[in-house]
Amino acid sequence: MKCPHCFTPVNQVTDICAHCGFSAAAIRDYLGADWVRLERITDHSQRLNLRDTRHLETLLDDFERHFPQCFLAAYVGPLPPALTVTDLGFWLINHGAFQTHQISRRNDFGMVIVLDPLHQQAGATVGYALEPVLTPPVLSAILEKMRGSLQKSDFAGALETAVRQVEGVLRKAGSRQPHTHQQPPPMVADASDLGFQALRPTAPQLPGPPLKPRAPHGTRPLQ
Amino acid sequence: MEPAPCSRRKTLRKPRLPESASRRALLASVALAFASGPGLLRAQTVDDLLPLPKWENEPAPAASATSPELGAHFNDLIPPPPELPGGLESGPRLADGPPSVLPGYTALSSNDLSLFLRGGMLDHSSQPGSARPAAHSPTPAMKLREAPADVLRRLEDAPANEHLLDPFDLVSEVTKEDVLRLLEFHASSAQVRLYILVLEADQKLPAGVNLDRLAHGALLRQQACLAVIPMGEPWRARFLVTDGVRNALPASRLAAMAEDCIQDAQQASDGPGQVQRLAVRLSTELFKLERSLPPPPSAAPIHPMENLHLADVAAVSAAETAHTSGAQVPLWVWTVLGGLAFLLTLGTSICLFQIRRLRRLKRPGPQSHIWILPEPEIQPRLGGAFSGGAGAIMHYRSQGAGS
Repeated sequence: MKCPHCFTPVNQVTDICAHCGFSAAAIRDYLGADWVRLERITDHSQRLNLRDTRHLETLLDDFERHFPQCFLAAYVGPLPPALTVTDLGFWLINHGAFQTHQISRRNDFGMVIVLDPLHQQAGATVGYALEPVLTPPVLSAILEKMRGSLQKSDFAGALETAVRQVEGVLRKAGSRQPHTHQQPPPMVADASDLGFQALRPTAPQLPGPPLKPRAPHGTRPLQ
Repeated sequence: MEPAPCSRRKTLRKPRLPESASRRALLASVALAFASGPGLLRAQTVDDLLPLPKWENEPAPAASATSPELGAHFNDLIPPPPELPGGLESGPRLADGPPSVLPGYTALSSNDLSLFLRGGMLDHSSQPGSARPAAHSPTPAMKLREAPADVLRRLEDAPANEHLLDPFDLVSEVTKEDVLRLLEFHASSAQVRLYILVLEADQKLPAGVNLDRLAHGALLRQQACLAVIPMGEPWRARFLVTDGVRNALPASRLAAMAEDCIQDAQQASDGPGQVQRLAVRLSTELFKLERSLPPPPSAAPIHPMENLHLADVAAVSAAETAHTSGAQVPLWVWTVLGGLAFLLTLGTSICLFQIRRLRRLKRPGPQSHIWILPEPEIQPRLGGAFSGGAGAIMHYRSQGAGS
C-alpha cells in the first residue's frame, strides 16, 4: 500500500510513513482527535442543489440496503493546500461518525469520496475491510469514469457514477443472500437498537429495574 | 401631185374613240364596281361564261331489279374508239379477232379490272349484300382423321426458313404473305423461333408423331415453338415447344399463353384470319416469354424432338395446372419461415424479460437480496483504526489518476 499523503509505498505494519512522516497521529494533530458526525453527503462548497442531494441520498440508501455492512460518504468542499483529498478521507474514516440508519456499521467497511472543486482533485479512500475488493487500481478506474462529469462540474453525476460503479464491484465480490425479514431485536440495550441515535454521548447509568411485561388486555398487571 | 406631209401623218395616227364615250364607259364600270363590289363583278363575269349546274327536285330513280353490271361505273375508263379524220381507220383490234384465234377470250370489259386491283372495291366478298361464308361447324371427334403420313414426310424436306407450313394450301395468298412476313420478322428478332403448321379442319396429328426432321431438323437447332392449327378450328390447336423453353417456364404459363392465342384466333370468323391472328398473338407472347428464358449459349445443344412437350391447350387443364402449381409451396420455404418465426419469438421473449428485469431493479420495491462481503484480517497501518489510507486520487484538469 501507499502513503495517502506522498503516495510512496509503505510497509504493511508501519505506523508512520518513512518518506513524509504521515500517520494517524500527524493528521490528528492537524484536524483533531474528536469524533465528528457528518451526513452521507457533506456539501461544504454548495455545489449540489437540493434535488441532487436528495437523489444522491436515495442512491446511498439503496446502496446500504443492498450492502448492509458497507456505507459510502461524500465530501464536497475546498481543502487547504497542505491537505490532500486522501488525507481527509483517511481522517474521516478513522474519526467520522456517519449518519446512517445503523450507527453500528463499522467504519472499516466504509468508503469516503472527497471532491475538491478548488484544486480540481478527486479522491477515494476505503476501510480495511474493503481494501481487498476496492483495490487502488479499481478505485483509480472508478475515478476515471467520474472524470467526464467532474470536468463539466457535474458533481452529482460524478457521485452517482461512483456509487453505481462501487455497487457493481461489490456485487461481484459479495455473496448474494436472500433478504430476511427484519426480526425484532431479542433485547433492547439502548435506543440505538431500535434505530434511534443519541445526539451526544450519555454517561453510563446504573441499570434500572427491569421492565415488567405488559399484562393482557382486561386483566390486572402482574405483581 | 403628192399629198402634203401633214395629211400623210394624219393618216398614220391611230384612230381614237370619242373622249365622251370612253369616259362614260369608264365611269359606268367604276360606279358599278363601287356599288356591287369587285368580287361580284368578277363572279358575274365568270358565271356568265361558265354557268353552274342546277339541281332540280326530281325523284330519285328507282333501283333496278337487276344489279348493274359489275364495274359498269368504270366504263368511262375505257375510251371509245377514236374517230380518225380523213377516212383513216385504226388497225385490227383484238376484240375483232375470230374466236378461234383466242379461244375463251372475250371482249375486255371493265370487270376485268379486277385482275389488276387487289381485293377491295371489286372484291366479291366485300360487296354489301353478298353472301357471307357459312360458319364452320366443329368436326366431331369421331370424324377426326390423322394427317396423312406422306404429307408429314414431305414436310421434312421443307426449307428451314419456311416458317409457315401449309401442305394443303389452305391459307389464302394474301393472308399467307402477311403471315410469312410476320414469321420472318419474328425469326430475325426473337430467341424462340415460331413455326406454324396448318392442317385441314378434320385432321389431327397422329399419335406419337415424330417431328424430328421437320424442315430439315430446323426446330432442333434452336429454341422453337411449333403451332399446329386445323383450319377453321383454332380450339384444337396444339403447341409444341422445345425442352429449353419448357424447363425455363412453368407449365401454367405456357398453358395460359396457348389459351390466350386460341381465344384471340377465335375472334376471326374465317380460317385464314384465325391463322393470322394466332400467328400475331403467339409471336407477341413468345417475345414476352424471352424475358424469363436464360441467355442462349454460344453453342446450342441439339435437343432430340422426342423431348418436345405439349403445353396443354384446354382451358380446364390450364386452370387445374395453375391451381396445382400455386398450392405447392416448397418444404424448405416452410422450414425457413418456421425458423424465422421461432427466432423472432425467442428474441422478443428475451427482450421482454430483460426489460422487466431492469424495471424491477430500478423499482424501489421490497428488497429481495443483499450482498455480504467477507471480513478479512488486515493489520492496521499508519496508526489508523479503521483505514490505512488505501485509496486513489485524480486530478481532473491537469494530471491523470494516480494512487
